[in-house]
Order: sequence, then C-alpha cells, then structure tokens
Amino acid sequence: MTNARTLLSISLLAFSVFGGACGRVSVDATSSDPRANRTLQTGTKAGKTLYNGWTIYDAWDDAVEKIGPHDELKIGQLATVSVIALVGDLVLEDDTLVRYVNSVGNHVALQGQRHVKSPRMKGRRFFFGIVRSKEVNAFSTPGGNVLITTGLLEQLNDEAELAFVLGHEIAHADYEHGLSALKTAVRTDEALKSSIQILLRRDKDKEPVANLFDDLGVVETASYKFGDLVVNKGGALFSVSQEGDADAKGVEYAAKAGYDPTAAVRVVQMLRDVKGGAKTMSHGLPETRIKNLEAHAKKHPAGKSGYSRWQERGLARLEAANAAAEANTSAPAP
Amino acid sequence: MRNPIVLALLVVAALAARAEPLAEKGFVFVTGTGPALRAEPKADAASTATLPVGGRLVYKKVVREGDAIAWFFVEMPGAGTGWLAAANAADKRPGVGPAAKPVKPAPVPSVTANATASTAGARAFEGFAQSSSAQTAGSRGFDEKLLAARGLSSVDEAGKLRTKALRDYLTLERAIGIQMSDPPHPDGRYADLTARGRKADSEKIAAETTSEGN
Repeated sequence: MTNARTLLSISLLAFSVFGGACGRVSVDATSSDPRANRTLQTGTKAGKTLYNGWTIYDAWDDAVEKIGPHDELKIGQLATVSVIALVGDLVLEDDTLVRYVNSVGNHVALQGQRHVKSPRMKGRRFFFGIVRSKEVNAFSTPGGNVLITTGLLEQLNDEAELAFVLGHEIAHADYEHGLSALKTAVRTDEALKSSIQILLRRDKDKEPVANLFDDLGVVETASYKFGDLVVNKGGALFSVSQEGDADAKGVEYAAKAGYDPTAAVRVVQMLRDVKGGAKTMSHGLPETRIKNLEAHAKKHPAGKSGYSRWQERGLARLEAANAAAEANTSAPAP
Repeated sequence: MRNPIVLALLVVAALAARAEPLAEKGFVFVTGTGPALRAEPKADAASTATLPVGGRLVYKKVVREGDAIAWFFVEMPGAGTGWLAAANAADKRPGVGPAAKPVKPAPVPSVTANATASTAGARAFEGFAQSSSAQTAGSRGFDEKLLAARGLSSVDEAGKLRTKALRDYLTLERAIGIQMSDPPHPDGRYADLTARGRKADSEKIAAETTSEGN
C-alpha cells in the first residue's frame, strides 16, 4: 500500500511540479498549479513501468533535471539544517565573526557565476554558516549554502586561505555538483525520493523556511536523509574530477577577489598534515592536488593575505565565541 | 637501598609535573612590543619585518637552548619566514578580547502553531507524520551512528536538535540579511533583492584589502 502510494505520489509530483518541453504523457488536468499543465519528456532507461511506457527513472530524471531556483533553495535549506543538526551547532555567539565570514564569502562569490543571468543563477544566494565541530571540514549544499567547521577555521592562517576554502565550496554550488549528486542518490534511495516529493509539493508562493516549519514533523526523516548524504558521503559525494574543478575555480574566485592564490596550496598542505584532515583529503591524492593547485596559482597575479583582518575579526572572534559557548555550557540551568 | 619501583614512580611523577612542552611545530602567538622577525636565530641577526603583537603564526621548527625553546622558525604571511625569539612568544593569545556580542535571535514562527497545519505534502506522507517513540531511529531514516556521535539516544532528542538547527539557521539567515521571503517572479526567477547589499559589502572588503598592505 505504501509503495503504491509512493509511486503514485512520485508520478503526481513529476506532473504537478515540473513540466517538460515535449513529451507524450498527459498531465493532471485537475491540478490548480498552472505548471501542471505541461508534459514530460520521455526516457528510455530501464525501470518499472508506471504509466503509458513511463518508468520511475524517467519521472525522476525529469523531475530532478528541472529543479527550479525555488526548489533548489528548499532542498539546500533542508540539507543545510540537517548538516547543522548532525555535525554541530551553528556558531551564533559572535555577531562580528559571523558577518565577517559572510562578507568574505560573498565577496568571493561575486567573482563566480552570480553575474550569469540565468534564472537558476540569479535565484541563488550564498549563506555561510560556521558549525561547532572539531572535524576539519566544509560542506556545500544546493542553492548556495556553505558550512565551515570551527575545526577548519582554527587551522587557517589568513583571510586568503579562508577565501580559497569558501571559493571551493562556492564552485560546487555554482556548477551544481550537489544537485548532480542528489540526482544520482534519489535513483537508489526510496526515502530520498519521498523526501524530495514532500519538499517539492509545497506551496510555491510561500517562504521556503515557513514551509519547513509547517511540516516540521514530516520533514525530519527527509532532512536526516539529506544530512546523511552530505555528512557521511562528504568526501565521496562529488567525483575527483568535480573536486578538481572546484579547486581550480576556488583559486580563480579568490584571486579575482584580490587574494593570494598560493593560499590554496597552503590549505591543502595543512589538510594533508593536520589530524582530522584526512576525510577532506578524499578529494584526491594530496600531492596531486597540491601540484595542480600550484599550477593554478601561477595563472593568477600575487594577491593579499588579509592576515591582520583574519587575526582580528576571524581568529580572535572565534576564540571569543568559543569562550562564550563554553560559559553557556557550564552555566547552571536557571 | 631504596625500592627501584618507588624510584621509577618518583621519576615518572617528576616528568608528569613538568609543564607540557611546545611541540616541534604548531602555532605560536606574538607578544611583547612589536618584536622583529630575524633572518637567523640570533639576537643581533638582521631584522626582516616587525611582527604584529597578538598575531598567531605557524612555526615549523625550533632552536633549543638546553631543554627550553629559544627560537621559533615562523612564517609571516606577506613577509616570508624568519626567527622569532621565544621571549616574545606565547602559546595563548595575549590579552582577553572583549565580550562577544551574539547574533540577535530572529523572530521565528511558532513551531507548535504551525506543526498541525496539514499541507498536501504532509497528507500524502502521513505515515511518517504518525511516527512514535516506539519507532527506531533507523526506521525513521535517522542515521543512528551520527545520532550517537552527538550523544542522542532517542528520536525525540534528535527531533529537538533538528528543531534547534532549524531555528539557528533561520536566525543566521535573517541576521546576515538573506531574506528568503522575496516572492518569485512570474517567470520563476527571484528578484535579487540583496544584490545591492552584497555589492556594498564586497566593495568595502576590496577597499580594505587594498589599503591594508599585507
């Protein structure tokens, strides 16, 4: 019964949310959503037949392929909330630190694909959060959400290194590596399929976060599946080739923003040497990655390190935030 | 003759009582009044730069005098490498920074008020909505290993954690001026309402980067 309902819902989802330019399957004419009055493209992949020659893979290929800006935001928000819940609390103890990291991140992001006039790019906005975790890592989810751990921040020596780390994650969002991974994952994970189904059937005119609150109980399951995907498969979520591209773009974005391009090399050397950096290094062999980054860095002019600003607004504020968090933890309950 | 076991224990206790020595490489903070970065580990060696007090530097080797570290071989971004006298170095940041001002909590919708609102999505997936504490974390799609790593033993606890994550996310999102409430354009795209703010931020950082000179 559940399976039948899921399959039915998936097919309805494909009809009601995403439309194809051409195809042969009629649509749900009773839907109030004007986007439902479209057709779906046909596919040839193997899979269980749902309706009129359509397979579940056809429907999902089409659905994920046509994810719009609004849907991407919702998926990204949910995945980000999951990562926060699973990896560590957001650092909110120091306003200066939070704004500083977001300023650097947005400065770097403006050197990327945000100037492209496509709807998806224009709809994307970048969010940089710091999660309290000793793990030395950073995460990128669809829609421009980037999370960096306190463990990684503590290892960075200047603003140029931060700019490269954020630039790398921004590139994953710019080139939609997260959505690509999601597409692969939904093919094999029933819970993920259901999760996306819930997400994408929401009222499009409503604020995405409000949607999340509305269905808080329902989306718990979905969100943890997303979190699992991002956190557990963090190193292997993207291909080595995608990681290589993100490295190259990370150097480019940071350099265009005026930062020292060799900072990228120092970051990867640190990840190679530091305890806990191994997971992040599953992006490829460290030495190969360093060699490639050295070559990329040579393509760009020398830039600034932003050392003083990082010490004052980054590192010192992080220490203050850590002290405040520790005080909150040790304070007796009222 | 004393018992050799007692002697050994005394030696171990004496060693343990000593202060934790700095490692051969790591981080060190600059103290004093603008100490020099020197070309060699000697007090009279040429000065190549003045180091910023309070700054954290990476050191990759040390020179010892007896048991104590006398010089750190440090890397100063923008000024290359050189030697910092141990007298001007500490393993903690000198001085205590001002108390942190937290991010202002955002007004968020009441979860309890909205949780009962049944959307089409919720109705279609009511099986999950009717979950109970009798269900295992795994059956609800939670990763039990990850929950355990965060010290959570039940689905209810995990749900509370997720609610907190959602509230914190919303707080940060609003604090940094990224409002998600802008309505989509009829053709499906979003009006980029925050572009002006982002551009101003970007220009400010760029101007500071240019004027800083390191």
